[in-house]
Amino acid sequence: MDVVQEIHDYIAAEFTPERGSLAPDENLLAQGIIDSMGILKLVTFLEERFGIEAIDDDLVPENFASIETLAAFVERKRNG
Amino acid sequence: MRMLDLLMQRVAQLVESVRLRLLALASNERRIRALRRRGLRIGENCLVFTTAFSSDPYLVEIGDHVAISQGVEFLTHDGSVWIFQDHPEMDVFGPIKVGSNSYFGTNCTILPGTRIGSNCIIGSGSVVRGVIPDDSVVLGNPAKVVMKTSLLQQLLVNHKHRLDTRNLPPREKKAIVRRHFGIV
Repeated sequence: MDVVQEIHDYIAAEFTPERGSLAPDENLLAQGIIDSMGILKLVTFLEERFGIEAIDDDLVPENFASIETLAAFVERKRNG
Repeated sequence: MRMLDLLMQRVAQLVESVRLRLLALASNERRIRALRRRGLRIGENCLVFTTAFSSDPYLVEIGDHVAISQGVEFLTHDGSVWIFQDHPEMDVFGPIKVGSNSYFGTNCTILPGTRIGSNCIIGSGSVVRGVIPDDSVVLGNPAKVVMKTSLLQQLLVNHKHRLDTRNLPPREKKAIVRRHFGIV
């Protein structure tokens, strides 16, 4: 399963179980899909699932805007 | 003479304790004025709902537009020196500095030597030590940065329960909040 799909499945199950699927470019912040506690859970998921470490400067809106930007963030961290 | 000194010291402590309790009931402006008289260095446009600036408030420096909720405690010395009886005169201090435009949730504890930047949010109940960079949201014990302030801003601006009621009269605000949550 690719990164986009894995992140999608996690967010859909955790934050929008009643809605089902989400578009990869759907704005998670503007739609109010994730709240502050959700960010903590999502960061923990990304770190544990993809073996990355999010530093303070990573925790910005640009990285959490959509499933696509989250996947790009994971790939950047993985590639060092 | 020694007994008299100790008694006077104890009375002074009790008087200060009562004054601080009364200060908690005073207006924000009056409380800040009184804290400044005790040595607290604090900027303009602040909201302060605590009086717990340790016995050394002159070691705390706070910038402009900072809100500090009830139960927040600034510790500027290490009380654990009590147990080192072979150093009965010892004290260990740590000044605390807070930048501007920051918010402290209820019941945070700020440990000696902590430096908190500007545009920071300290979550309720956090125990903070060390250096917190500008634009950080911190949470927990020990507190850690959980996101940048810009991310929390996006989350709050788009929150499903965001209502623009903060400056409304209480009755008007209550009506809007009740309606929003379907409370008749």
